[in-house]
Amino acid sequence: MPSLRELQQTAYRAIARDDDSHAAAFDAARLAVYRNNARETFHKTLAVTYPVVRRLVGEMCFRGLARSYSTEFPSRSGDLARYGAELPTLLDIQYRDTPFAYLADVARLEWACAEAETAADGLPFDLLALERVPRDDSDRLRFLLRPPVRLLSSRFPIFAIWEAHQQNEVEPVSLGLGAEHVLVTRRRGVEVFKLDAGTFAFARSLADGERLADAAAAGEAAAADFALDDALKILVRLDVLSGVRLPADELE
Amino acid sequence: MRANPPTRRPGAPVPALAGIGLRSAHLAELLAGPPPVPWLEVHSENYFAAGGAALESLTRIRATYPVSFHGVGLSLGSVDPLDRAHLRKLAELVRRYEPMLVSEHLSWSSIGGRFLNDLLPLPATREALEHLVLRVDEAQEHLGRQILLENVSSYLVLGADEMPQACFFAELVQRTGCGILLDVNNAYVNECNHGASAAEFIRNLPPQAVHEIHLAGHTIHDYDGERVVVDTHDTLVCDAVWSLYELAAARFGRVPTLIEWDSELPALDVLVGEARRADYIMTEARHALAA
Repeated sequence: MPSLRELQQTAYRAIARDDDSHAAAFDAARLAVYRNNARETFHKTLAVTYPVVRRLVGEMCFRGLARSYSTEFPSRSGDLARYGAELPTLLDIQYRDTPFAYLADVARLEWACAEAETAADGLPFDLLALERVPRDDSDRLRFLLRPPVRLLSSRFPIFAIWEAHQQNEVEPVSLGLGAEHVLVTRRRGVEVFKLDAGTFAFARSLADGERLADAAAAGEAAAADFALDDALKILVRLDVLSGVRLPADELE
Repeated sequence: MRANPPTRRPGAPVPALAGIGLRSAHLAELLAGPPPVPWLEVHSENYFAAGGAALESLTRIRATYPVSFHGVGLSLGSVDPLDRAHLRKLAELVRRYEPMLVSEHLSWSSIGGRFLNDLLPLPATREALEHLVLRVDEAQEHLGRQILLENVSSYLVLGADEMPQACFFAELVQRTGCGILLDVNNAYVNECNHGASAAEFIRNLPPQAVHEIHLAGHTIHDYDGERVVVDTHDTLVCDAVWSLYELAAARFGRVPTLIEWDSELPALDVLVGEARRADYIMTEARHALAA
Protein backbone atom coordinates (compact mmCIF):
# COMPACT_ATOMS: atom_id res chain seq x y z
CA MET A 1 0.00 0.00 0.00
CA PRO A 2 1.60 3.29 -1.07
CA SER A 3 1.93 6.07 1.51
CA LEU A 4 -0.32 9.14 1.40
CA ARG A 5 2.60 11.12 0.01
CA GLU A 6 3.18 8.60 -2.77
CA LEU A 7 -0.52 8.57 -3.62
CA GLN A 8 -0.61 12.33 -3.88
CA GLN A 9 2.57 12.51 -5.95
CA THR A 10 1.35 9.86 -8.39
CA ALA A 11 -2.07 11.45 -8.75
CA TYR A 12 -0.59 14.92 -9.24
CA ARG A 13 1.70 13.71 -12.01
CA ALA A 14 -1.07 11.82 -13.76
CA ILE A 15 -3.40 14.83 -13.68
CA ALA A 16 -1.03 17.75 -14.20
CA ARG A 17 1.52 16.27 -16.57
CA ASP A 18 -1.26 15.11 -18.82
CA ASP A 19 0.89 12.38 -20.34
CA ASP A 20 0.06 8.74 -20.11
CA SER A 21 3.33 7.51 -18.61
CA HIS A 22 1.96 8.58 -15.22
CA ALA A 23 -1.63 7.61 -15.90
CA ALA A 24 -1.35 3.80 -16.04
CA ALA A 25 -2.46 3.38 -12.42
CA PHE A 26 -5.80 5.10 -13.04
CA ASP A 27 -9.05 4.56 -14.90
CA ALA A 28 -8.74 6.76 -18.01
CA ALA A 29 -12.28 8.16 -17.97
CA ARG A 30 -12.09 9.07 -14.28
CA LEU A 31 -8.66 10.63 -14.70
CA ALA A 32 -10.07 12.66 -17.60
CA VAL A 33 -12.49 14.42 -15.21
CA TYR A 34 -9.62 15.73 -13.09
CA ARG A 35 -7.46 16.59 -16.10
CA ASN A 36 -10.36 18.44 -17.62
CA ASN A 37 -11.09 20.28 -14.36
CA ALA A 38 -7.48 21.40 -14.07
CA ARG A 39 -7.29 22.48 -17.71
CA GLU A 40 -10.54 24.44 -17.49
CA THR A 41 -9.69 26.06 -14.14
CA PHE A 42 -6.31 27.28 -15.31
CA HIS A 43 -7.56 28.35 -18.73
CA LYS A 44 -10.50 30.25 -17.26
CA THR A 45 -8.30 31.95 -14.65
CA LEU A 46 -5.84 33.15 -17.30
CA ALA A 47 -8.68 34.22 -19.61
CA VAL A 48 -10.19 36.41 -16.88
CA THR A 49 -6.84 38.05 -16.13
CA TYR A 50 -5.66 38.42 -19.73
CA PRO A 51 -8.68 39.29 -21.92
CA VAL A 52 -6.66 41.49 -24.29
CA VAL A 53 -3.89 38.92 -24.83
CA ARG A 54 -6.63 36.37 -25.48
CA ARG A 55 -8.26 38.56 -28.11
CA LEU A 56 -4.89 39.33 -29.70
CA VAL A 57 -3.84 35.69 -30.12
CA GLY A 58 -7.31 34.17 -30.61
CA GLU A 59 -9.03 31.50 -28.53
CA MET A 60 -7.28 28.49 -30.13
CA CYS A 61 -3.82 29.88 -29.55
CA PHE A 62 -4.76 31.09 -26.06
CA ARG A 63 -5.82 27.55 -25.09
CA GLY A 64 -2.41 26.29 -26.18
CA LEU A 65 -0.76 29.09 -24.26
CA ALA A 66 -2.77 28.23 -21.13
CA ARG A 67 -1.64 24.61 -21.39
CA SER A 68 2.03 25.48 -21.80
CA TYR A 69 1.69 27.93 -18.94
CA SER A 70 0.24 25.38 -16.54
CA THR A 71 3.14 23.03 -17.32
CA GLU A 72 5.91 25.63 -17.21
CA PHE A 73 4.54 27.65 -14.30
CA PRO A 74 2.37 25.37 -12.13
CA SER A 75 -0.03 26.99 -9.69
CA ARG A 76 1.73 27.70 -6.39
CA SER A 77 -1.22 28.78 -4.28
CA GLY A 78 -4.66 27.73 -3.18
CA ASP A 79 -5.69 31.28 -4.05
CA LEU A 80 -6.21 31.35 -7.82
CA ALA A 81 -5.98 35.15 -7.89
CA ARG A 82 -2.23 34.65 -7.71
CA TYR A 83 -2.17 32.40 -10.77
CA GLY A 84 -0.84 33.86 -14.00
CA ALA A 85 1.86 36.30 -12.82
CA GLU A 86 4.45 34.72 -15.12
CA LEU A 87 2.50 34.84 -18.37
CA PRO A 88 4.59 37.82 -19.57
CA THR A 89 7.72 35.70 -19.01
CA LEU A 90 6.28 32.82 -21.05
CA LEU A 91 5.26 35.22 -23.84
CA ASP A 92 8.77 36.71 -23.77
CA ILE A 93 10.27 33.26 -24.22
CA GLN A 94 7.85 32.28 -27.00
CA TYR A 95 7.71 35.53 -28.99
CA ARG A 96 10.97 37.37 -28.37
CA ASP A 97 12.47 38.43 -31.71
CA THR A 98 9.19 37.81 -33.53
CA PRO A 99 6.63 40.32 -34.83
CA PHE A 100 4.57 39.45 -31.72
CA ALA A 101 7.16 40.61 -29.20
CA TYR A 102 4.66 43.23 -27.95
CA LEU A 103 2.42 40.51 -26.44
CA ALA A 104 4.60 40.17 -23.32
CA ASP A 105 4.28 43.88 -22.53
CA VAL A 106 0.52 43.84 -23.10
CA ALA A 107 0.38 40.94 -20.63
CA ARG A 108 2.45 42.97 -18.15
CA LEU A 109 -0.13 45.72 -18.40
CA GLU A 110 -2.98 43.28 -17.79
CA TRP A 111 -1.21 41.75 -14.79
CA ALA A 112 -0.70 45.27 -13.40
CA CYS A 113 -4.47 45.80 -13.76
CA ALA A 114 -5.12 42.56 -11.85
CA GLU A 115 -2.77 43.68 -9.09
CA ALA A 116 -4.36 47.12 -8.96
CA GLU A 117 -7.79 45.56 -8.56
CA THR A 118 -6.90 43.77 -5.34
CA ALA A 119 -4.28 46.10 -3.85
CA ALA A 120 -4.91 47.77 -0.50
CA ASP A 121 -7.07 50.89 -0.62
CA GLY A 122 -4.61 53.24 1.10
CA LEU A 123 -5.58 56.48 2.79
CA PRO A 124 -6.74 59.54 0.87
CA PHE A 125 -3.99 62.09 0.27
CA ASP A 126 -3.83 64.63 3.07
CA LEU A 127 -3.00 67.86 1.23
CA LEU A 128 -2.74 69.67 4.57
CA ALA A 129 0.30 67.55 5.36
CA LEU A 130 2.10 69.52 2.66
CA GLU A 131 1.55 72.73 4.62
CA ARG A 132 3.43 71.32 7.57
CA VAL A 133 6.57 70.85 5.46
CA PRO A 134 9.02 73.73 5.93
CA ARG A 135 9.45 75.57 2.62
CA ASP A 136 13.21 74.97 2.63
CA ASP A 137 12.60 71.24 2.88
CA SER A 138 10.31 70.90 -0.12
CA ASP A 139 13.10 69.58 -2.36
CA ARG A 140 13.80 66.80 0.06
CA LEU A 141 10.18 65.75 0.25
CA ARG A 142 9.31 62.21 -0.74
CA PHE A 143 5.85 61.26 -1.93
CA LEU A 144 4.13 57.97 -1.21
CA LEU A 145 2.06 56.46 -4.01
CA ARG A 146 -1.28 54.76 -3.38
CA PRO A 147 -1.01 50.95 -3.15
CA PRO A 148 -2.90 50.18 -6.42
CA VAL A 149 -0.61 52.39 -8.54
CA ARG A 150 1.54 50.58 -11.13
CA LEU A 151 3.87 52.15 -13.69
CA LEU A 152 4.91 50.42 -16.89
CA SER A 153 6.91 51.42 -19.87
CA SER A 154 7.19 49.60 -23.17
CA ARG A 155 8.92 50.12 -26.50
CA PHE A 156 5.53 49.19 -27.98
CA PRO A 157 2.27 51.20 -27.97
CA ILE A 158 0.74 49.05 -25.21
CA PHE A 159 -1.74 51.70 -24.15
CA ALA A 160 -3.13 52.09 -27.67
CA ILE A 161 -3.36 48.29 -28.03
CA TRP A 162 -5.00 47.86 -24.64
CA GLU A 163 -7.46 50.70 -25.26
CA ALA A 164 -8.44 49.45 -28.73
CA HIS A 165 -9.30 46.06 -27.23
CA GLN A 166 -11.71 47.53 -24.67
CA GLN A 167 -14.16 48.00 -27.58
CA ASN A 168 -16.24 45.33 -29.27
CA GLU A 169 -14.95 46.39 -32.67
CA VAL A 170 -11.17 46.64 -32.56
CA GLU A 171 -9.57 49.38 -34.66
CA PRO A 172 -6.15 48.32 -35.93
CA VAL A 173 -3.22 49.80 -34.00
CA SER A 174 0.06 50.60 -35.72
CA LEU A 175 3.16 49.38 -33.88
CA GLY A 176 4.77 52.44 -35.50
CA LEU A 177 3.24 54.52 -32.70
CA GLY A 178 6.32 53.46 -30.75
CA ALA A 179 7.06 53.50 -27.04
CA GLU A 180 4.33 54.26 -24.52
CA HIS A 181 4.35 54.87 -20.77
CA VAL A 182 1.39 53.74 -18.73
CA LEU A 183 0.01 54.37 -15.27
CA VAL A 184 -2.48 51.90 -13.79
CA THR A 185 -4.50 52.93 -10.77
CA ARG A 186 -7.80 52.22 -9.05
CA ARG A 187 -10.29 54.87 -8.11
CA ARG A 188 -13.87 53.65 -8.49
CA GLY A 189 -12.51 50.83 -10.63
CA VAL A 190 -9.20 49.99 -12.27
CA GLU A 191 -8.11 52.66 -14.76
CA VAL A 192 -5.27 52.84 -17.27
CA PHE A 193 -3.70 56.14 -18.41
CA LYS A 194 -0.99 57.02 -20.87
CA LEU A 195 1.66 59.37 -19.45
CA ASP A 196 4.15 61.54 -21.30
CA ALA A 197 7.80 60.49 -20.92
CA GLY A 198 8.65 63.27 -18.45
CA THR A 199 5.70 62.70 -16.09
CA PHE A 200 6.30 58.96 -16.26
CA ALA A 201 10.00 59.28 -15.33
CA PHE A 202 9.02 61.65 -12.51
CA ALA A 203 6.35 59.26 -11.18
CA ARG A 204 8.68 56.27 -11.54
CA SER A 205 11.29 58.10 -9.53
CA LEU A 206 8.79 59.03 -6.78
CA ALA A 207 7.63 55.41 -6.69
CA ASP A 208 11.26 54.38 -6.15
CA GLY A 209 11.36 56.62 -3.07
CA GLU A 210 13.48 59.39 -4.59
CA ARG A 211 13.31 62.95 -3.23
CA LEU A 212 11.16 65.49 -5.05
CA ALA A 213 14.20 67.32 -6.45
CA ASP A 214 15.71 64.09 -7.79
CA ALA A 215 12.39 62.96 -9.24
CA ALA A 216 12.06 66.32 -11.01
CA ALA A 217 15.58 65.89 -12.38
CA ALA A 218 14.58 62.46 -13.71
CA GLY A 219 11.56 64.05 -15.40
CA GLU A 220 13.75 66.73 -16.99
CA ALA A 221 16.24 64.14 -18.17
CA ALA A 222 13.44 62.21 -19.88
CA ALA A 223 11.72 65.20 -21.51
CA ALA A 224 13.17 68.60 -22.30
CA ASP A 225 9.79 70.29 -21.78
CA PHE A 226 9.16 68.68 -18.38
CA ALA A 227 7.34 71.02 -15.97
CA LEU A 228 7.21 69.94 -12.33
CA ASP A 229 3.94 71.79 -11.62
CA ASP A 230 2.16 70.12 -14.52
CA ALA A 231 3.46 66.68 -13.61
CA LEU A 232 2.36 67.07 -9.98
CA LYS A 233 -1.06 68.27 -11.11
CA ILE A 234 -1.50 65.18 -13.27
CA LEU A 235 -0.59 62.88 -10.38
CA VAL A 236 -2.92 64.70 -7.97
CA ARG A 237 -5.77 64.67 -10.51
CA LEU A 238 -5.34 60.91 -11.01
CA ASP A 239 -5.27 60.46 -7.23
CA VAL A 240 -1.88 58.75 -7.40
CA LEU A 241 -0.36 60.22 -4.24
CA SER A 242 -1.21 59.01 -0.78
CA GLY A 243 1.11 61.00 1.44
CA VAL A 244 4.40 62.81 1.97
CA ARG A 245 7.32 62.14 4.21
CA LEU A 246 10.66 63.57 5.09
CA PRO A 247 13.22 60.91 5.94
CA ALA A 248 13.72 60.67 9.69
CA ASP A 249 17.38 61.76 9.47
CA GLU A 250 16.38 64.86 7.58
CA LEU A 251 13.71 65.72 10.13
CA GLU A 252 16.24 65.93 12.92
CA MET B 1 -1.49 35.82 21.65
CA ARG B 2 -5.12 35.12 20.93
CA ALA B 3 -7.68 37.55 22.27
CA ASN B 4 -10.19 34.76 22.80
CA PRO B 5 -9.69 31.08 23.48
CA PRO B 6 -10.75 28.86 20.59
CA THR B 7 -14.38 27.92 20.77
CA ARG B 8 -15.36 24.51 19.55
CA ARG B 9 -18.80 25.71 18.53
CA PRO B 10 -19.65 28.16 15.78
CA GLY B 11 -19.56 31.68 17.19
CA ALA B 12 -22.47 33.64 15.77
CA PRO B 13 -26.11 32.52 15.80
CA VAL B 14 -26.84 30.39 12.77
CA PRO B 15 -30.23 30.61 11.08
CA ALA B 16 -31.25 26.97 10.60
CA LEU B 17 -32.80 27.86 7.28
CA ALA B 18 -31.77 27.54 3.66
CA GLY B 19 -29.41 30.13 2.15
CA ILE B 20 -27.67 30.51 -1.18
CA GLY B 21 -24.15 31.09 -2.45
CA LEU B 22 -23.34 34.74 -3.17
CA ARG B 23 -22.59 35.42 -6.83
CA SER B 24 -21.60 38.87 -8.06
CA ALA B 25 -24.34 38.82 -10.72
CA HIS B 26 -26.94 38.81 -7.92
CA LEU B 27 -25.24 41.39 -5.74
CA ALA B 28 -27.36 44.42 -6.67
CA GLU B 29 -30.61 42.46 -6.34
CA LEU B 30 -29.62 41.05 -2.95
CA LEU B 31 -28.87 44.54 -1.64
CA ALA B 32 -31.85 46.27 -3.22
CA GLY B 33 -34.90 45.05 -1.32
CA PRO B 34 -35.81 42.91 1.67
CA PRO B 35 -33.46 39.90 1.86
CA PRO B 36 -34.97 37.02 -0.15
CA VAL B 37 -32.87 34.49 1.80
CA PRO B 38 -31.80 34.46 5.47
CA TRP B 39 -28.05 33.99 4.89
CA LEU B 40 -25.37 33.79 2.21
CA GLU B 41 -22.25 31.72 1.68
CA VAL B 42 -19.09 33.08 0.07
CA HIS B 43 -15.89 31.44 -1.12
CA SER B 44 -13.24 32.60 1.34
CA GLU B 45 -10.48 32.93 -1.28
CA ASN B 46 -12.55 35.41 -3.31
CA TYR B 47 -11.90 37.89 -0.50
CA PHE B 48 -8.17 37.41 0.03
CA ALA B 49 -7.49 40.78 -1.65
CA ALA B 50 -5.89 43.54 0.44
CA GLY B 51 -8.54 46.01 -0.76
CA GLY B 52 -10.86 46.82 -3.63
CA ALA B 53 -14.37 46.18 -4.85
CA ALA B 54 -14.82 42.57 -3.67
CA LEU B 55 -14.15 43.42 -0.03
CA GLU B 56 -16.28 46.52 -0.30
CA SER B 57 -19.26 44.53 -1.55
CA LEU B 58 -18.76 41.87 1.13
CA THR B 59 -18.87 44.64 3.74
CA ARG B 60 -22.20 45.80 2.34
CA ILE B 61 -23.57 42.27 2.18
CA ARG B 62 -22.44 41.55 5.73
CA ALA B 63 -24.35 44.60 6.99
CA THR B 64 -27.58 42.85 5.93
CA TYR B 65 -26.88 39.11 5.91
CA PRO B 66 -25.20 36.56 8.13
CA VAL B 67 -22.50 34.92 5.99
CA SER B 68 -20.59 31.69 6.07
CA PHE B 69 -17.07 31.31 4.66
CA HIS B 70 -16.47 28.29 2.50
CA GLY B 71 -12.83 27.65 1.56
CA VAL B 72 -11.55 25.71 -1.42
CA GLY B 73 -7.82 26.37 -1.25
CA LEU B 74 -6.42 25.29 2.11
CA SER B 75 -5.46 21.80 0.90
CA LEU B 76 -5.97 20.37 4.38
CA GLY B 77 -5.33 16.78 3.33
CA SER B 78 -2.05 17.47 1.56
CA VAL B 79 1.14 16.07 3.08
CA ASP B 80 2.78 19.45 2.33
CA PRO B 81 3.12 21.80 5.32
CA LEU B 82 -0.07 23.77 5.91
CA ASP B 83 0.09 27.11 4.09
CA ARG B 84 0.39 29.56 6.99
CA ALA B 85 -0.03 32.62 4.77
CA HIS B 86 -3.33 31.22 3.49
CA LEU B 87 -4.46 30.49 7.01
CA ARG B 88 -3.46 33.99 8.17
CA LYS B 89 -5.56 35.60 5.43
CA LEU B 90 -8.51 33.42 6.35
CA ALA B 91 -8.09 34.30 10.03
CA GLU B 92 -8.04 37.99 9.13
CA LEU B 93 -11.27 37.65 7.15
CA VAL B 94 -12.90 35.73 9.99
CA ARG B 95 -11.96 38.46 12.45
CA ARG B 96 -13.24 41.19 10.16
CA TYR B 97 -16.54 39.66 9.02
CA GLU B 98 -17.46 37.31 11.88
CA PRO B 99 -18.99 34.59 9.73
CA MET B 100 -21.56 32.27 11.28
CA LEU B 101 -19.71 29.23 9.93
CA VAL B 102 -16.27 28.52 8.46
CA SER B 103 -15.86 25.45 6.31
CA GLU B 104 -13.31 23.66 4.16
CA HIS B 105 -13.10 20.33 2.36
CA LEU B 106 -11.88 16.92 3.42
CA SER B 107 -9.55 16.82 0.45
CA TRP B 108 -6.13 17.79 -0.86
CA SER B 109 -5.14 19.90 -3.84
CA SER B 110 -1.39 20.33 -3.71
CA ILE B 111 1.81 18.36 -3.40
CA GLY B 112 5.42 19.59 -3.52
CA GLY B 113 4.12 23.17 -3.45
CA ARG B 114 2.20 22.71 -6.71
CA PHE B 115 -1.55 23.12 -6.77
CA LEU B 116 -4.22 21.54 -8.94
CA ASN B 117 -6.76 23.96 -7.41
CA ASP B 118 -9.26 21.11 -7.31
CA LEU B 119 -10.70 19.02 -4.47
CA LEU B 120 -9.02 15.63 -4.63
CA PRO B 121 -10.23 12.75 -2.49
CA LEU B 122 -8.39 11.19 0.43
CA PRO B 123 -8.43 7.49 1.23
CA ALA B 124 -10.20 6.61 4.49
CA THR B 125 -7.05 5.15 6.01
CA ARG B 126 -5.47 5.34 9.48
CA GLU B 127 -2.54 7.24 8.00
CA ALA B 128 -4.81 9.86 6.41
CA LEU B 129 -6.86 10.14 9.59
CA GLU B 130 -3.83 10.74 11.82
CA HIS B 131 -2.60 13.35 9.34
CA LEU B 132 -5.99 15.09 9.18
CA VAL B 133 -6.30 15.24 12.97
CA LEU B 134 -3.05 17.23 13.16
CA ARG B 135 -4.03 19.48 10.29
CA VAL B 136 -7.53 20.25 11.55
CA ASP B 137 -6.13 20.95 15.03
CA GLU B 138 -3.60 23.33 13.51
CA ALA B 139 -6.21 25.14 11.39
CA GLN B 140 -8.71 25.48 14.26
CA GLU B 141 -5.99 26.64 16.61
CA HIS B 142 -4.97 29.28 14.12
CA LEU B 143 -8.49 30.49 13.42
CA GLY B 144 -9.53 30.31 17.05
CA ARG B 145 -12.76 28.57 16.14
CA GLN B 146 -14.35 25.43 14.82
CA ILE B 147 -14.24 24.56 11.15
CA LEU B 148 -16.66 22.31 9.29
CA LEU B 149 -15.31 19.78 6.82
CA GLU B 150 -17.17 18.84 3.68
CA ASN B 151 -17.29 15.42 2.03
CA VAL B 152 -16.12 15.87 -1.59
CA SER B 153 -17.22 14.32 -4.86
CA SER B 154 -14.69 11.90 -6.22
CA TYR B 155 -14.12 10.36 -9.59
CA LEU B 156 -10.91 8.44 -9.00
CA VAL B 157 -10.33 6.11 -6.11
CA LEU B 158 -6.99 7.04 -4.55
CA GLY B 159 -5.84 4.21 -2.31
CA ALA B 160 -7.96 1.59 -0.60
CA ASP B 161 -10.27 2.64 2.26
CA GLU B 162 -9.62 0.93 5.60
CA MET B 163 -12.88 2.15 7.12
CA PRO B 164 -16.18 3.59 5.90
CA GLN B 165 -15.96 7.32 5.03
CA ALA B 166 -18.59 8.10 7.69
CA CYS B 167 -16.41 6.48 10.39
CA PHE B 168 -13.46 8.54 9.18
CA PHE B 169 -15.55 11.68 9.67
CA ALA B 170 -16.86 10.52 13.04
CA GLU B 171 -13.39 9.91 14.45
CA LEU B 172 -12.10 13.20 13.05
CA VAL B 173 -14.99 15.03 14.74
CA GLN B 174 -14.43 13.23 18.00
CA ARG B 175 -10.69 13.93 18.11
CA THR B 176 -10.59 17.52 16.83
CA GLY B 177 -13.98 18.99 17.69
CA CYS B 178 -14.50 19.97 14.06
CA GLY B 179 -17.97 19.85 12.53
CA ILE B 180 -19.33 18.31 9.36
CA LEU B 181 -20.66 20.02 6.27
CA LEU B 182 -22.67 17.29 4.62
CA ASP B 183 -22.82 17.74 0.85
CA VAL B 184 -25.74 15.54 -0.17
CA ASN B 185 -25.03 15.93 -3.87
CA ASN B 186 -21.42 14.81 -3.38
CA ALA B 187 -22.58 11.73 -1.49
CA TYR B 188 -24.95 10.96 -4.35
CA VAL B 189 -22.30 11.59 -7.02
CA ASN B 190 -19.99 9.16 -5.20
CA GLU B 191 -22.74 6.56 -5.06
CA CYS B 192 -23.18 6.88 -8.82
CA ASN B 193 -19.45 6.76 -9.51
CA HIS B 194 -18.27 4.18 -6.97
CA GLY B 195 -21.38 2.45 -5.68
CA ALA B 196 -20.87 3.59 -2.06
CA SER B 197 -24.39 4.05 -0.64
CA ALA B 198 -25.18 7.72 0.01
CA ALA B 199 -28.02 6.84 2.38
CA GLU B 200 -25.69 4.68 4.45
CA PHE B 201 -23.09 7.46 4.53
CA ILE B 202 -25.74 9.89 5.81
CA ARG B 203 -27.09 7.41 8.38
CA ASN B 204 -23.63 6.75 9.79
CA LEU B 205 -22.54 10.35 10.32
CA PRO B 206 -22.57 11.51 13.95
CA PRO B 207 -25.85 13.51 14.05
CA GLN B 208 -24.72 16.19 16.51
CA ALA B 209 -21.76 17.11 14.31
CA VAL B 210 -23.58 18.02 11.10
CA HIS B 211 -23.79 21.82 11.22
CA GLU B 212 -24.42 22.58 7.56
CA ILE B 213 -25.76 20.85 4.46
CA HIS B 214 -24.98 21.61 0.80
CA LEU B 215 -27.30 20.88 -2.10
CA ALA B 216 -26.31 21.29 -5.75
CA GLY B 217 -26.88 20.02 -9.24
CA HIS B 218 -24.56 17.73 -11.18
CA THR B 219 -23.99 16.64 -14.78
CA ILE B 220 -23.57 13.23 -16.35
CA HIS B 221 -20.52 13.17 -18.60
CA ASP B 222 -19.66 10.56 -21.14
CA TYR B 223 -15.93 9.85 -21.50
CA ASP B 224 -15.43 7.41 -24.37
CA GLY B 225 -18.57 5.53 -23.45
CA GLU B 226 -17.92 5.55 -19.70
CA ARG B 227 -20.53 7.45 -17.70
CA VAL B 228 -19.13 9.68 -14.96
CA VAL B 229 -21.34 11.86 -12.76
CA VAL B 230 -19.57 15.20 -12.25
CA ASP B 231 -20.33 17.70 -9.48
CA THR B 232 -20.78 20.77 -11.68
CA HIS B 233 -23.01 23.12 -9.61
CA ASP B 234 -24.69 24.33 -12.79
CA THR B 235 -28.23 22.99 -12.61
CA LEU B 236 -31.21 22.21 -10.37
CA VAL B 237 -30.93 19.76 -7.49
CA CYS B 238 -32.12 16.39 -8.83
CA ASP B 239 -34.96 14.30 -7.33
CA ALA B 240 -32.66 11.61 -5.96
CA VAL B 241 -30.69 14.26 -4.06
CA TRP B 242 -33.90 15.82 -2.71
CA SER B 243 -34.90 12.36 -1.40
CA LEU B 244 -31.54 11.98 0.31
CA TYR B 245 -32.00 15.46 1.75
CA GLU B 246 -35.32 14.34 3.27
CA LEU B 247 -33.42 11.51 4.92
CA ALA B 248 -30.78 13.96 6.18
CA ALA B 249 -33.43 16.40 7.45
CA ALA B 250 -35.15 13.59 9.34
CA ARG B 251 -31.87 12.53 10.90
CA PHE B 252 -30.18 15.86 11.61
CA GLY B 253 -33.19 18.14 12.17
CA ARG B 254 -33.00 21.79 11.15
CA VAL B 255 -29.53 22.52 9.80
CA PRO B 256 -28.48 25.58 7.76
CA THR B 257 -28.71 24.37 4.19
CA LEU B 258 -27.09 25.92 1.15
CA ILE B 259 -28.07 25.88 -2.50
CA GLU B 260 -24.77 25.93 -4.43
CA TRP B 261 -24.79 27.15 -8.02
CA ASP B 262 -21.47 28.23 -9.52
CA SER B 263 -21.77 28.25 -13.30
CA GLU B 264 -24.58 28.72 -15.84
CA LEU B 265 -26.04 30.95 -13.17
CA PRO B 266 -29.85 31.34 -13.33
CA ALA B 267 -31.99 34.24 -12.10
CA LEU B 268 -31.92 34.81 -8.35
CA ASP B 269 -35.54 33.62 -8.12
CA VAL B 270 -34.54 30.12 -9.21
CA LEU B 271 -32.02 29.86 -6.37
CA VAL B 272 -34.51 31.29 -3.89
CA GLY B 273 -37.06 28.72 -5.09
CA GLU B 274 -34.62 25.88 -4.43
CA ALA B 275 -33.87 27.32 -0.97
CA ARG B 276 -37.62 27.49 -0.16
CA ARG B 277 -37.99 23.86 -1.18
CA ALA B 278 -35.21 22.91 1.23
CA ASP B 279 -36.91 24.92 3.99
CA TYR B 280 -40.18 23.15 3.31
CA ILE B 281 -38.50 19.74 3.56
CA MET B 282 -36.85 20.71 6.87
CA THR B 283 -40.22 21.84 8.24
CA GLU B 284 -41.96 18.65 7.11
CA ALA B 285 -39.21 16.51 8.64
CA ARG B 286 -39.60 18.34 11.93
CA HIS B 287 -43.36 17.73 11.95
CA ALA B 288 -42.75 14.08 11.18
CA LEU B 289 -40.29 13.88 14.10
CA ALA B 290 -42.78 15.59 16.40
CA ALA B 291 -45.67 13.37 15.33
